[in-house]
Amino acid sequence: MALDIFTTRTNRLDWTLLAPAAMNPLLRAPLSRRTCLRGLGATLALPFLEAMLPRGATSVPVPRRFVAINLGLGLHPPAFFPKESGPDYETTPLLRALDRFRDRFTVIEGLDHGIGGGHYTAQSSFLSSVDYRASDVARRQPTLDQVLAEEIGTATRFESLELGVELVHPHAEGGSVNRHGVWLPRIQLPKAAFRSLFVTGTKGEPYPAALLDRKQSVIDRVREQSRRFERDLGATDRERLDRYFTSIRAVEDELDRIETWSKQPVRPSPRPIEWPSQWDMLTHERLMLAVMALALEADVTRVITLIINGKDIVMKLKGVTLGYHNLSHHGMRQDKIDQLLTIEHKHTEYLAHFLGELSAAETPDGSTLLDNTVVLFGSGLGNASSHSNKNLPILIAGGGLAHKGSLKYDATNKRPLSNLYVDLQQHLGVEADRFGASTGRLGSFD
Amino acid sequence: MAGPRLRPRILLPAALAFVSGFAAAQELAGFEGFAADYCLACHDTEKAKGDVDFESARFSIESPADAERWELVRLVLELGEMPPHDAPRRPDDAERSAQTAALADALAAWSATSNRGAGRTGLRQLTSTEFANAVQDLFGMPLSREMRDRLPQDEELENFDVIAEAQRMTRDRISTSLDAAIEITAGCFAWLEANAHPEQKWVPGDDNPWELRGTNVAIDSKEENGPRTERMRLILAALNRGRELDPDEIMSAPMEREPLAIGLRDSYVGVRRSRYQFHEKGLAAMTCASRTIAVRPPATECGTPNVVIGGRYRYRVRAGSIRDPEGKLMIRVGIRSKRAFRKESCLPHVRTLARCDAPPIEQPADLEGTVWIAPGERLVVQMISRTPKFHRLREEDVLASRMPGLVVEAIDLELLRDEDVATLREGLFGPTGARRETRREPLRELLRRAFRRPIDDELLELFDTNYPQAEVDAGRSTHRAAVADLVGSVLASPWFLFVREPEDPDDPFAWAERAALFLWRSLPAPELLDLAEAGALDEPAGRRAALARLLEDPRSERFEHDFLDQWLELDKLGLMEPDLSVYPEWSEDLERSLREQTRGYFQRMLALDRPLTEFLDSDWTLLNETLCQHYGVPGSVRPAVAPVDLAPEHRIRGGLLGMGSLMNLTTNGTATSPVLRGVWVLQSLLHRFPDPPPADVEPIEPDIRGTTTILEQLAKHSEVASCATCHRSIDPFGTALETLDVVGLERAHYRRVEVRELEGARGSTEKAFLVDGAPVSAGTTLPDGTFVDGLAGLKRWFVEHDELFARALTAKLMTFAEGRSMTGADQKRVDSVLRAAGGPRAGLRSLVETVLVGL
Repeated sequence: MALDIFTTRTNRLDWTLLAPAAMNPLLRAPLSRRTCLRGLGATLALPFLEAMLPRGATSVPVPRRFVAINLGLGLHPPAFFPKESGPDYETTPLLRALDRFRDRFTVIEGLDHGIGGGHYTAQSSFLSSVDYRASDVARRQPTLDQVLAEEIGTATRFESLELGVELVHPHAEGGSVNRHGVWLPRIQLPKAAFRSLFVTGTKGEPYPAALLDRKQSVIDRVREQSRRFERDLGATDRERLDRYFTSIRAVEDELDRIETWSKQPVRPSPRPIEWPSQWDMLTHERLMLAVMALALEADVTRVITLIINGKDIVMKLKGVTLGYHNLSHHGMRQDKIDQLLTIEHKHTEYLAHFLGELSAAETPDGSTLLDNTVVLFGSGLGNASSHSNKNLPILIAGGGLAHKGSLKYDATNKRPLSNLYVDLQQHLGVEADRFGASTGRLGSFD
Repeated sequence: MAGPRLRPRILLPAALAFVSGFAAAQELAGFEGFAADYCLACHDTEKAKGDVDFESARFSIESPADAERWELVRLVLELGEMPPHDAPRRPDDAERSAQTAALADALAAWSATSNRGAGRTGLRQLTSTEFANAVQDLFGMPLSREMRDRLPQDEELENFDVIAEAQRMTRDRISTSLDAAIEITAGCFAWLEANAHPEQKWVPGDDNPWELRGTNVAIDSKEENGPRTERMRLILAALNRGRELDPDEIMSAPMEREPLAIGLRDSYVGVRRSRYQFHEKGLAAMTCASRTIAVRPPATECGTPNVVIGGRYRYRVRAGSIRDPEGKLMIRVGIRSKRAFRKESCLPHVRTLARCDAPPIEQPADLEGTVWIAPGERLVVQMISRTPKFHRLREEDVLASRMPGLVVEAIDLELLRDEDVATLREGLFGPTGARRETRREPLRELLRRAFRRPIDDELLELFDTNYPQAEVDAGRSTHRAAVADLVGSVLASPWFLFVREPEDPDDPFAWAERAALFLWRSLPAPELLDLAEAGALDEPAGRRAALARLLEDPRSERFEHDFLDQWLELDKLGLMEPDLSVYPEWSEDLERSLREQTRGYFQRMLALDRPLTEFLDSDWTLLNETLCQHYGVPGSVRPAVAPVDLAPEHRIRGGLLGMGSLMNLTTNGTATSPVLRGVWVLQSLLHRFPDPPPADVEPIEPDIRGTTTILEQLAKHSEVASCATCHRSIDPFGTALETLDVVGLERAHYRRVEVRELEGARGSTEKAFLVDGAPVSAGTTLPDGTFVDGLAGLKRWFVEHDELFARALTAKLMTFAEGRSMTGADQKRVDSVLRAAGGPRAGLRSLVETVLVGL
């Protein structure tokens, strides 16, 4: 069963419960941070030691990380894009909170995927440039985060992490798509995300070791027995059944992976999270970002996607009386725009806080976490009021990129957003000169 | 989101040299003369309007691409879109329908010989809904909410989740099957344990139906309803000691007397206290607990502890109001789960079972029924406000207990025992399941029900090896773990997860399987399998008798529910809440009433076998007080909807198109869009799937300041030639519906919000007023040239073309039944099913039966 590391009174973390139950002597068990703290009797945060890195990572290549934050309802364009281009632009209402990081992010205007479709494509195509409505499952291309995860995510406990702040089915379309064309489910509660990252070491339900063994043998037998089912099927049906066998193999891989990692200790970050007693959507968003910062710091994953989907919640903010989605269709009414901006300010404020946490966290090589994490913040909706998918709001932060302040592209030139993704891909070490609908590199950070 | 259909340009070139090796070419010689008479004026090689060229076309079907193109020709002809109404020469209706029928015949003949698997569904999966239902029916135990949330979401095509072609087998489908098995096994063992300790009944007396016992009574220690009374503590202490309660001891314990009041406001004002009392019929509670729900108005509630053993329960609730002379309060009984995404209910975490006006506690109301409760869920009784607008209460009144309140006298919850399931559970999970010889028959029965067919010894032996007998015998594993593995191997196996297309079209088991999946969205019951084995399903008469029993069963509500969601997209109602500053009449109560109206309408159509044409127009509908006020129709039934005869002046409300629910779900919540509504009408009522707009179209930005209307904006849009082709057939259907606003009310003007400055005693203040904006003009020319003005005209057109609608609905039902989309090649079969059922005026039930009998 899962360790319950929350003491009921304060909901604070008790890290002593995180000591690994069993270690496989065959794997060179990394030193747990807790052990260090205990041994040294230290109470202060220690820098990460090389020995604490996972096996095979001793040469300390600077890890590369990627975070994508996808806003379902966009950002009010006049309040987001600066008027000028270049590093000395006058900040805008929505960028004000981020101004202290001015030299570490770039705002880009004039890019989109060149597809329509309103909300649906806005959310689902943002990271892929593919209009999934028109492509069948077999031709679905993976999203940017999944492409990157295959390259930069393999050395950590989780190749990638998919999170959502939304009111939909966790499996609903619109998040990340993997190489097999499958929509990945999202963890939608910060507490659940925290637990799965740090408490049990699995993304789903906790797996005690014995259960893991049993599942492996059940799956093994099911695969063998299904050969009998296959016997009397026609060719088309066999093809469909093939996907069943592929899925069985995927379950086996997943169980293997869980088994391997369940023998590795978790290196938790020493910062506990205070869980509030009252929840609303913005609290979810703030805490999800806090969990994300922890996950990057503890290096349990290097690729994270967060979907923020407003739905029609009335945010608990002063002056906000209407639902978020409703406000996004402001129909140019000023009172609605004002309320909308109150909410959107929160998004950029939380982003600033997140960037702050990353820039405060040092990595073994002395750089900050922000220096080696590319943060993509934006939306597939250029103008939510008209459901436009044109001229998307895009902000790139961190990652050691040569930031340019405000970049403006002429929207009429139809430069694909995918070109930017090619740049990011290459910057993060994926040797590919294409992504989705790209026509080349954008070259914005050269 | 409905899966879009690729709609290629209709090029009909003779030079397209794709010849299928299997198919016999289908000649369309009869069409050549027709095309020469009516089409060539525009669609010759030179003009080739809309890229359609009949001059150099090959009048035969030789390839799948040909078939797709000729199907488009057939669709355009069927709706009368072509030849256009301003063409110099137009065929009469008889000639036109003769040609469409000939095309349908040719398409059917081509697909019959094309050997391309047309007319075949092939291997289809159980959808997640079907999986959850199947597990529930198989073990008599629903999956927990958390488990159901983890089931993968199904891919949809044409808005249906059953279409094999779109389905996707994933890792999650298999791993959740294993986890479901673990959960179900735990539930079955808890049930066995509870059965083994009947002395733990925690309410004395043989006639007492309170069945929450054994592990069930482990009341959540994080009791949220505030401090416990002395009496409650005693009850809990007794329960924790596992002994029977002494009613005298309990009743003599001190307890608060004064009933408490509950405030109803948009932000809750109330007193946090609770009181439980011992009632001769079980746990009685009267409570005031604060509970704020971020999105919706708050409700105050009390309820049972979380259920540990999932199953079908009978509930009885007795409650009434105090200090409520004006009758402001209502009682709602529902199931609260820890977490549920919002789909059906307005309150995100509570599924409503029953509600009624709260009578005074001297004549309390009794609400009862049966319900499936999953582990981790509980029954709650809520106090809600009768009027949609919430009473504003003064805090001091609340604190002084002068406000109305609800007294819940008794909540009885009894776990029902289904003998059929109980025998299987005892046989497999009980001690008999631990021995190979005694496990044999229970396992065979489990496999028979799970795999929907008789189980031969070979398969039985194969699955029996999934029970690690040697491990258990050697003490390395437990019976509990072993049986979980066995159940896991059943639920993850292809026999369970896939629906096979039978080689023998008359296979009675395959028929039973598909009929049950259609009407119950679940496995066939053992009795139905018995009938199949006895040969009673070989003849139509036997199938009809079986269908009657399937329809009688409460499980057929799943068909009514899911089919309606997928056919009319009713599940989208309420996802886009109207702007309350423009549509103040919108409320949770209205939303629910609208949903009930549409659901009830379909149910009544089905139950009474009403003619299909009543979907288009009728002199009755279902209304309650809320809807009567909303639509302006006299009547005062409440709270549930009931049939009402419509006077001629309210006839507009008869049929689907007069329903506010459908008019609301076809908007974005703020403004109506003729395009969205037009697409919905085409997809839902005519079974046609227009292309999604091309990528480079900038959408229209709604301007609710009232300077331009959506129609004026759209007119500009449609002037562009490339847009006009599609919008000519989409927009008119939506334009005609412009007479109905976002909440389904008739309008002559668009609503506009005007902010005025008011001079008051304390200076000027701004206040928003709703005023009439631009006038609505809903006159439009439908694709076949008929001019209609508004909803009444559109309804009349539909009544005159009832065959188009009847065919569409038949195709929808057949899609849902067969798990594949109906193409032009199926049109002949669709038509013959409709004819067999009695044509466009056939009853809904007859049509459903005809579709199913012929499966």
